[in-house]
Amino acid sequence: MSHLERHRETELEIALHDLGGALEAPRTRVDPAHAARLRIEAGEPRRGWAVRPFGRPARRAVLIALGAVLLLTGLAAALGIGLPGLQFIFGEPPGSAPSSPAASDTIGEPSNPIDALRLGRAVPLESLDEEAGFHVVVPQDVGLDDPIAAVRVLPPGVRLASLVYRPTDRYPAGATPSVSILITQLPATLDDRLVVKFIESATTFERVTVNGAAGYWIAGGLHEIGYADETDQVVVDSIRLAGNVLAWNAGGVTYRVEGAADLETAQAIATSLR
Amino acid sequence: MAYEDLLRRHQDLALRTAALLTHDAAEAEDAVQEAFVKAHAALGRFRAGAAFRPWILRIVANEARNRRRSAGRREGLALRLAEDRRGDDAAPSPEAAVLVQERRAALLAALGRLRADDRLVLGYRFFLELGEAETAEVLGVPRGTVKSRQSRALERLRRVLGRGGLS
Repeated sequence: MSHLERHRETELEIALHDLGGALEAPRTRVDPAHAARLRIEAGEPRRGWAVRPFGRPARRAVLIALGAVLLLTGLAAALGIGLPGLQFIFGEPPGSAPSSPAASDTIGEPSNPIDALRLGRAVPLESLDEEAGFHVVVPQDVGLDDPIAAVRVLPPGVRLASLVYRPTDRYPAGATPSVSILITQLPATLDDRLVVKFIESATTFERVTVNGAAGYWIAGGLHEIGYADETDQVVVDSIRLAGNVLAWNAGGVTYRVEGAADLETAQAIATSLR
Repeated sequence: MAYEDLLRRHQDLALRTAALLTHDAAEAEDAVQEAFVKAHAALGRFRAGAAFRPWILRIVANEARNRRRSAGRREGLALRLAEDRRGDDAAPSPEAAVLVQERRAALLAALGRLRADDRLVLGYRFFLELGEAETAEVLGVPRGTVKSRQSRALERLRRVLGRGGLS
């Protein structure tokens, strides 16, 4: 490449930078992010068309938007705004999401529930606080045997503490044969993070109060919780047990009780946490 | 909603990316919206700890490329020059401003005659101001490939502009 050509290329690059700055800001007929949200919340299964203000798809858009508004209105009335930092996204579960450990566990008896549920590393209960880096509360006097404790580090460094309980007569196994109850605790800094939850459209929600804090009883379906921090790093954490989940947030920690047969049982466990 | 907030942070870049690949603004907008919905369905495949921006831009580019294929070949891009509204002392004379806009229009038209891959690498590097590493991530190629693609794209752009370059 000659000196002249080098100079010309540099000039061209400068011109491209200049052109980039001189381009019109993209103008849209509808807000794509909001339209996408409406479609997702409406559980829109179709692909290949978009919500448009005009043209043939407009009628469908209106129907979807109306459906979404009704859905959101109903949810808002039923659930309120939501837990601080806890956000729920309604819609079909990601088809390509990692399969639920619980689903695969139903094939055979897992030898180690910590591995089967991908809960990280088993740790002695007495050193759980130290390993987790925060105080992990444990159910008291509700008839649960001693738990198996585990800690898993979720990128970018959030530590998920888990307590796994084997089945008993009082707490029978659910979809995962070797596990009855799973309690997870995550020191999510909810002021800095958004928590995104994916649920099956068939899942039902009920707003509840857990130990004086706002919480949700999520019955049925597969769930995932994701965290998106300010740098847009998203961490998705699966709900390990198919079935019911009681979730709440207190003192900067997100708590989940998974696998309880009913809300009363889950509440009893939640209120016994010390 | 968190997902909507997350998308909105990247919406402008997503629209510019789609506009680099489509020939119609509405098509670019639809591509972005469709990509956002598809991305939601694919969030399970999102690698924990990875940056969200290159991931979403890649999905947008794929969607826009697919739509362009199905729409057939048309001239021009879904990118438009903004009006130069500078009214300060630094603003060029009306004559000079016209020349600048003509020069930009010629460059934009030449860019529109490049193949999609060339437009994309130049667009990411010079319009979206992505670094080499991030461009490599969006394109799904090694960093060295970005350098070579950019170099070849610039060469082809120069050829389209003619030996007289931008003058």
